[in-house]
Amino acid sequence: MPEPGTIVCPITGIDLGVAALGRPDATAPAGDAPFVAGSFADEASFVAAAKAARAAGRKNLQSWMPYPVHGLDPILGLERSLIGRAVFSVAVIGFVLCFAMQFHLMVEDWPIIYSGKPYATWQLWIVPTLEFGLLLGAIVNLLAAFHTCRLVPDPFVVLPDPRTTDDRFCLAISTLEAPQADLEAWFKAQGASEVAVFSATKAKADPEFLIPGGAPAKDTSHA
Amino acid sequence: MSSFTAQKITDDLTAPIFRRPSLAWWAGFLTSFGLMHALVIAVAAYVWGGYGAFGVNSTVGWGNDIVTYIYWIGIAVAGTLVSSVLLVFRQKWRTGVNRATEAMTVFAINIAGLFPLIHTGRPWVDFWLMPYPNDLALYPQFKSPIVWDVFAITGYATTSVLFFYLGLLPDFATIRDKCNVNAALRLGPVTIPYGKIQRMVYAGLSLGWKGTAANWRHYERAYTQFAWVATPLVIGMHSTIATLLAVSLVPGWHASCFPPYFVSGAIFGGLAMALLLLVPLRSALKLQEYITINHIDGLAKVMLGVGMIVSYIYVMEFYTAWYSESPFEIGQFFDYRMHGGHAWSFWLMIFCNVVCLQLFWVPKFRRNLWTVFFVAFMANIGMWFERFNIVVMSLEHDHLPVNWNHYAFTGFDYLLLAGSFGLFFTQFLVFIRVAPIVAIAEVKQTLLHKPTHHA
Repeated sequence: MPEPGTIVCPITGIDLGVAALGRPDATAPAGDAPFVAGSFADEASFVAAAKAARAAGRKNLQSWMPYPVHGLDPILGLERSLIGRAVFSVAVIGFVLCFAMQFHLMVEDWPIIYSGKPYATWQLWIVPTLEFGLLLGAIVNLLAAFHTCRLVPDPFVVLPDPRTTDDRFCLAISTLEAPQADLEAWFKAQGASEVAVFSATKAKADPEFLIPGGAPAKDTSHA
Repeated sequence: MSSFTAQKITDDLTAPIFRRPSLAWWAGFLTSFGLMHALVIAVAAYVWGGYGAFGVNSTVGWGNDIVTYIYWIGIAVAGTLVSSVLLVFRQKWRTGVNRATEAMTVFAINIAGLFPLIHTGRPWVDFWLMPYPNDLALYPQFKSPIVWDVFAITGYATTSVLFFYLGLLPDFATIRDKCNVNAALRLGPVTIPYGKIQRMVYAGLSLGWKGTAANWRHYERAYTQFAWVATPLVIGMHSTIATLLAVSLVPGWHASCFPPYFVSGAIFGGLAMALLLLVPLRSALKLQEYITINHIDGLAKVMLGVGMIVSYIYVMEFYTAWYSESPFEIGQFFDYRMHGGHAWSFWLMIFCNVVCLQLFWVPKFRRNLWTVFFVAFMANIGMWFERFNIVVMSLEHDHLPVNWNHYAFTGFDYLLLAGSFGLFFTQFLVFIRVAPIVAIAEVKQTLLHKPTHHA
């Protein structure tokens, strides 16, 4: 059930994020609270760190990676994506709409006899019906992916470490969870090659504070 | 496998985007771009002077435009086979070649889509194909496979483009973060900050992709769903085209085997085009480690499998004609196809699609780039002539001898056909300069990911 005060997509059940700021969430660091980001050079130590963080009861976790790491979702407490429901629902609506359109045009609005065939030849309408439903499903599939991933054209996007789209795995824990110094030490102990504080407020003032080579940071609450 | 690191994969696969285009690329691009204008000339001549610019006549109303249309649709079908069907069946080897074949699909389908619009004769009223009442207040006829085809092509083309773009998103983000924002081009007093421009463009294209766990969770789901949607769409689309012919009474078309015949033929021809592109590309872009000889071998094996199905159907067409005892069917196959005015195109088809293909039974030939290129090249020729046999030769020799007529290309037909290849290769050559031809994130996952099991 969504929390009171949140707005949820009626089809997919996806939290539209309107009231997400400041709300403790298993996947998104909250608000402007700084968090500590550890960068890992290999997948194994990154996954081990994520496991350890969850075992220690950390909830405000975020992670970045160059490719999908299967098995990480349950560790981070992420549930199965629901966009399949959206696609299925819209595809069914498409099937019904297209079939109804053909019935209306060929039987009700302007019936014409072709070669003595009956007006309501439903068997011959199956192909457009399937094609149209699947087309709508495909379009909604893409839109749902954009919606759930919060994807919009953003020329100024920044990451805690820009190498996470290349060869680095990054895990971040909110300082709501533990003091900053403790988290930095914890990341070092987990084998992070680099550790940095990641704060939206600070990033605006000091673009160089991040992991060396990194770009200025911004609030990634909705990442 | 152990020599691969994520950074090496990124560097290798993005290198063609960041380095200057080679002379070979310029030569290929300028040739294709020039050839593309043949299409423009042919279409302009047809719009200006009418459909008489092409070689169709009162008997053979479906000529080059429909033949070439089915040819390009077939090329697109194989791309979806590799990208979607192999994904549905969890075939990891697809990651080396799926991006190239998806690109091939998208570029082939947009060329294919042009031809029915040209074929209508009055492209300025093509919007009547939509469920929209025309000047006579008539709706499209939904009982007709021609209208089904409009839905099929629209659905398939749109889905292919969306699928292609979704697959590119993480790779665009990788390129975005690799751009050298300090790169600039000095032209006298003017400095063009092309590094910053490049980064802005890729940042826009990647839609702010971050690659968080939440991103990947939804992305993978959507990507797999696209495969599930595209698979029935592609089979339905080419079956629809086959039905379009099979429901008519024309000898040579009226056969229930047409849907599987067309689908398998399309996969065969499309894989041939994929091999034709990949064999030179892997050397030109130095991607031999990613598009390995095993990938070539795998594609060749699939091509051999579907090619043998196609060969079987060639034989079955003759058998069915003989077994039907219909003089029209027997005349079409045993007389006209084998000995008629265009018999050379029938025998060329057999040579290209059946005889040359047999080389692939020998593993050594499947792993030799020269023989693979040769067989793929011949199959491309053969598949165009297969559609020529089906469409043109059937119409030339129908039920009534008084109708029998000969079809010949005009100069504009040659321009139309050549121009379509120019358009295809132009798009492909531009693409390899702006996006990785091998899916970076997918290859990393295949080569580097070790499955984690949640305790």
